[in-house]
Amino acid sequence: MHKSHDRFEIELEREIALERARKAPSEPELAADWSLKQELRGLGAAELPPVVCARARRTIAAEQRAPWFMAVAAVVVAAVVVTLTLQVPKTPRAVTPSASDMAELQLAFETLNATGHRAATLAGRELSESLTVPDLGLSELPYAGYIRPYFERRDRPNRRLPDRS
Amino acid sequence: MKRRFEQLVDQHGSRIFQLARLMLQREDEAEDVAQETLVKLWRNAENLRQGEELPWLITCTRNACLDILRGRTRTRSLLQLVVSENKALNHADERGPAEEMHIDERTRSLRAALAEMPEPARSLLILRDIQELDVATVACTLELSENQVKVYTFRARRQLRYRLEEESNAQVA
Repeated sequence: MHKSHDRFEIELEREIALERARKAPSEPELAADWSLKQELRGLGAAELPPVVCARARRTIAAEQRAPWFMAVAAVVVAAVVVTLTLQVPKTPRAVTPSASDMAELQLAFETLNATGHRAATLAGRELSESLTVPDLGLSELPYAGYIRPYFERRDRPNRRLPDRS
Repeated sequence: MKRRFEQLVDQHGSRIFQLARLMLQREDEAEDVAQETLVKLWRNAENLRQGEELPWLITCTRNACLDILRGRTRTRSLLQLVVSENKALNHADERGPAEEMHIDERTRSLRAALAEMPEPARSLLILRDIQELDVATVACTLELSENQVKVYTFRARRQLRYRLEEESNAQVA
C-alpha cells in the first residue's frame, strides 16, 4: 500500500516535470517519454469535414419540421378516407343466384304450398262440423234476407239463421 | 439557441471529430459519430450550462466510439476484416501521391498502436497529449481526480512507448 502510494507520487512528479519541460530532460527514460509526448502532439489536428456539419444540420432540420409533417400527413390521410367513404355507392349489391339455387328455391316454395293446402283442407274437414255460426243478429237488420247468403258456408248444409218473424 | 449551437460546433467540432478518428481509425465511422454527437448537442444544448459543453461533448463522442469498438470486437469476422482492409486500401488510393508521402510509417504505427491501447489509457493520451486539453476538463470527462489523470497519462504514454519499441525491435529482428 505504502509502496504503491510512493510509486504514485513519483510518477506524478515525473508527469509534472514533463509538462513543464521545454526541452528533453537529461534522464534517458524521461527524455524518451518527452519525445513521445512531442510526437503525439504533432499527430495533426483533424478538421471537421463540412459534409458532417451539413448532414447534422439536415437531421436537425428534419426533426424540427417533423411535427408539421405529421400533422399535414394526418390531414391528408383523413381527407382521403372521408372522400372514399362518401364515394362508396349506397345501393346494395345486386344478387345473382345460380340456376341450381333457383331450382332449390322453387322446389321449397312448391313443397310449402302443397303442404299448406293439404293441412288447410284436412283442418277444415275436421273442424267444420263442430263450428257453429255465431249469431250476428242479422235478422234485426232491414233486408236481412239479402245479406244472409254471404255469411252461409257453401261446403256444409244450410243452416238457416233463426228467423225472428 | 441556434447561435450557441453554431458557436459550439465551430469551437469543438474539429476536436470531437479528431477524437473519434483516433479512437476508431476509420474516417467514415468517425464522421458518423461526429454527426450523431452534433445532433445530440442540438437536442441538449438548452440543458448544458456554460463550461459544461466540452466535457459533455467529449463524453458523448467517447461513449459512441466505445460502443462501436465493442460492437467490432463482438462481430469481428474474417469477412469484416477483409472488407475493412479493402476499404482502407481504397482510401489510400484516393489520396494523392504528394499526400501519401507525408504520411510516414512512424505516424501510421503510432496511430495504430494508440488505437490498440486499452481504455482509459487511449482516451487519456488523445485528450491530454494530442488534443492538449487541460487536466480539469479531462478529469471531469473521465471521472478521475486531477492527480489520477496526470499519473495515468504518464503510465499510458510509457506503455505506448514500450509497445512501439517492441514493435520496432521485432521489425529489426
